[in-house]
Amino acid sequence: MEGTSLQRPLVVAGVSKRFAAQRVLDRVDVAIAGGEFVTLLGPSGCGKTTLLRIIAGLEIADEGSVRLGETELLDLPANSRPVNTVFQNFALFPHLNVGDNIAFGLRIRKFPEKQVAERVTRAMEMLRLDGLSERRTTQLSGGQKQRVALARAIVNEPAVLLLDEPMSALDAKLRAEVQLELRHLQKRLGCTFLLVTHDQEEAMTVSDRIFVMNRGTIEQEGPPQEVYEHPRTRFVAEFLGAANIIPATRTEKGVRTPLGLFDTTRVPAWSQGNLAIRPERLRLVDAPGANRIQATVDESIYRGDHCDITIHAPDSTRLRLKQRDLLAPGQQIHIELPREHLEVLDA
Amino acid sequence: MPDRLVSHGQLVTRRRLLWRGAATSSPGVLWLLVFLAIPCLLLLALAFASRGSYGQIIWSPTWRNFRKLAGYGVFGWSADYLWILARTVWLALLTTILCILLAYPIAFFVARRSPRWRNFWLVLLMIPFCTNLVIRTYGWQLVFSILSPNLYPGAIAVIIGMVSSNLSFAVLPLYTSVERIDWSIVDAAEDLYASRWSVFRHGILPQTRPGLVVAVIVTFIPALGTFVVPDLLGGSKTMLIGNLIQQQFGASRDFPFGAALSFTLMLATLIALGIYQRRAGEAGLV
Repeated sequence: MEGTSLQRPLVVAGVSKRFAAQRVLDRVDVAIAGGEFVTLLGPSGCGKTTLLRIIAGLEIADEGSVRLGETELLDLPANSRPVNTVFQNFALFPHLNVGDNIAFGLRIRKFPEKQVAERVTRAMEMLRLDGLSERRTTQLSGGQKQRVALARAIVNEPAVLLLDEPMSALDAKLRAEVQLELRHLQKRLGCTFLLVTHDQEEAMTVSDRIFVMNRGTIEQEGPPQEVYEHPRTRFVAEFLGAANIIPATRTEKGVRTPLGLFDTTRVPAWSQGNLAIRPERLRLVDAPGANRIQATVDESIYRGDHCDITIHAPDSTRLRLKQRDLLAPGQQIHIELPREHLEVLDA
Repeated sequence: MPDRLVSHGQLVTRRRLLWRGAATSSPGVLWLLVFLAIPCLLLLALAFASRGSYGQIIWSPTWRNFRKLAGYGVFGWSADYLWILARTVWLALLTTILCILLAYPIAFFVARRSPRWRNFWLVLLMIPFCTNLVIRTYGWQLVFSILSPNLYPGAIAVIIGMVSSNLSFAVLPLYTSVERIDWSIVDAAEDLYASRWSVFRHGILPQTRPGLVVAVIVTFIPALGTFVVPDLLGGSKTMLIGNLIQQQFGASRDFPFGAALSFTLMLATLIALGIYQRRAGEAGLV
């Protein structure tokens, strides 16, 4: 495969879209390096699928630009863009068998039949579909259908592969398997993958970078670890995993909250706002001290690999704590909110 | 095989089951027998009878009517009747093709409205059926005489009349298929470099096949038998087999020849349907 042409960056700039009175995308900017695996993560209705469809050419943007290298994609119709899509429900052609489905994009473009056969065979091997060429698509399992949909897209060697919630139709166990496979496939092909999902675990498993979307805008972007560990907004903190949100005001001595005075790594830009801390970052300690509070255990739930514990501070602020061992309800404990894990939220 | 079966926990003999089946299906069977099978047989018998000098029926078996249809008349051979038959088939085909070509966009238009407006448009499509075909066709006469008198009477007027009288029949079955289209397959075709025609061919056509097949059948068959429209819009220039049959049972009082014509038309329709189904099946259309 021609390595260089697959490595073109994809730059979405100022893309907006309205449906009737509803603003679905509001001047969205997304810059993706060639060969990157990027995820648009957000709840349903946040505009992520619309953005994907605009890149694919299946939806028309009201304004903005989508550039692939030097090419402006918005000037091209869907059938001339060097991008391919894996659809949510796979959208396999019901009248064609597996082999013909995969060969579709090549045959439409009149590739010589010998080349079609070679590329289809290679794609089928890559996705472990050997021997299924003659099968009708209705005779396939969910996982097989998904691999056919993937093969049908990658056989065209697109510069960007768009994946619209491709795992939502699979059961949980299969999903975990496919996520890993997808990541390996992307590394092997070296082309850009842009995945849309509402599943934060999926996003973190597969992506080099995550764009968290909410209400038609990008809330935050970054590598999974950065987005998870350092959420900048309340939405991101709560959408990616669980978070304790603590209202706070800025003072000269530190950040004042109903729980007490705290020291944070970042100085808040606001005078009044929120702090966030992940339940697994709360630390059980022996004695009071800086960034430490006293609390009472309310409830303790055993989850196998960890325990979910609800505690309340003297001012009755409730916090969630995640740790290895159970705590007895009613027990008095000391908790540290470590400075490096106490995140200052922008909004 | 055992002769006794257990049904609903009761021991039931095969004969009892047969009786039960016969009893429940007998109303339908009786209906078909009285109103379809017997008339058809009568028609077949009549086709082999002949007309007496006063228009009465002479019940002695003869091939005379079919020979007449094939062109062997009293004054030697002529292709008149065969021409009528060929013209009928050609006009019915043309009507069907035009109806389908028009029905697709209409079905798409209706299916893409909001549910409330969809019903409005469907009712609008059905309204012409509240009016008798004869009156509607006279309506066309009026329209033609005002807008373009040189078209009426003539073949183009007949085609327009036939298309308009059959269009709704073509739209409704297509609409039910179009409404159920999985649009992501259409998107997939577009995403995979398909041109507009290929998107239709691979994204839409396979999904609307059932509706298309029904639409073709319900347009083609009535179009084969039509006689009001060519009568009123075609003048005497466009005689179709429907008119010919009507003439035999009316003015000519040649019931046997009319019966032979009807029977031939029925047979031709069945053969055409058979071929269509096989061809459509080969092309993956059914």
